[in-house]
Amino acid sequence: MFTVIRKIHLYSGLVILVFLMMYFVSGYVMIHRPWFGGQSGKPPPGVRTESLAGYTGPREPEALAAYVVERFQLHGRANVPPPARQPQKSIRFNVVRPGTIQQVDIPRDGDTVTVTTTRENLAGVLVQLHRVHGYGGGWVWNTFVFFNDVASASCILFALSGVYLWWKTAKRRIWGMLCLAASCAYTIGTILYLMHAR
Amino acid sequence: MLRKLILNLHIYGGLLCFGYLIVFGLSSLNFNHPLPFTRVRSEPVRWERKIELADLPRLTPDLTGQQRDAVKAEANHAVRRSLGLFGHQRPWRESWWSDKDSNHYHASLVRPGVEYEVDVHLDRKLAVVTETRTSAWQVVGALHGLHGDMPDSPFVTTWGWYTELCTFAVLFAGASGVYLWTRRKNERRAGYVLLGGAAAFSIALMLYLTLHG
Repeated sequence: MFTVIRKIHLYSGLVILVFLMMYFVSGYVMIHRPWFGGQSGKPPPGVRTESLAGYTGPREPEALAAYVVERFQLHGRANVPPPARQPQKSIRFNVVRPGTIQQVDIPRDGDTVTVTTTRENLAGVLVQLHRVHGYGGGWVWNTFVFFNDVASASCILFALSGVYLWWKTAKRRIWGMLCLAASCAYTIGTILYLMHAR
Repeated sequence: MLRKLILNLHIYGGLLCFGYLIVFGLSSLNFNHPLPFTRVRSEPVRWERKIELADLPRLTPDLTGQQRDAVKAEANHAVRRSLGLFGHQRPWRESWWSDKDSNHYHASLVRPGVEYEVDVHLDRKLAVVTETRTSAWQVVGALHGLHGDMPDSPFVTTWGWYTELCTFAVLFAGASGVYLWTRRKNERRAGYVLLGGAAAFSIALMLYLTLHG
């Protein structure tokens, strides 16, 4: 049992190492964004205009988004707000990938497609890599999110298997027990405090 | 000697961050799989309290949007302090002065675990509060990225310090884990294959997603 758990701890760590490190580095950049250049160093947004001429399909946001993404080769995941949250005079959606947001505007009574492309600086790319979540953006996106799931599950796995390995190997357990008890008490205490404090 | 020191830091740093790793893992999984039971909220509870507020910062027509938000933020914090609450506030469309009653201000207060919609009646020195509690899952999700000050709660503010500590502990655990593994005589080849293959794949995936989408 000990050998199996140790191998799981070791090999799962080696497999997910780079991905997990990316999450902790990008998380640190996210909470200290000004230290990493803030919003400076971004290139100015680019605007391109295309024509929707020839499109005879439905004018619902979802259908238009699928068509525009395909026809104008916009790479990323399309985030289409529901009709209730669309602007009155146009249909608007974003096609996003880490570091790049393409905002698409189509007038409700027109055939022009305006694509405004905003690019991030390096810190922004890391922050947006950190924020990628939820399946449904093509196989590359879904593979990334799957790795995100694996990294998340491995955090729990490392914590539990690490405790087991320490328990089995420690000669004096008092310091480890103090560390573990402090960590559990603080975390559970904070959660309960936030749930019940007025 | 060095190996022993690194091993101890790896172990005890990991044990100190046990709680954070569980919170981080569960909340990240929940972001990808927002199951309905994790989004449950309590029924709103309404309560009233007498408050001592002579007046609140007012909006004037010459203010820009950013200035209006700053004034409403100041008003919201004044309301929160008068009620003895801690946490953040929402100064945007969620907070407003009544058009019909210049003594009526609506403040929107929020923190992990609870939201307060407060109707302040300055003339009656009364606050009517609608309180909605969120689930433990949402508290865990909020702790995932909680950093900086939690106004009027030194205790919750310390979570940001814990996040910092655990970030460095996990980065160290990753690096020291690789170091400890390379000190071993066996399991090297399989480890190199796994580490090299997984690292190359992970970096390629990040680059491809970023550059191509």
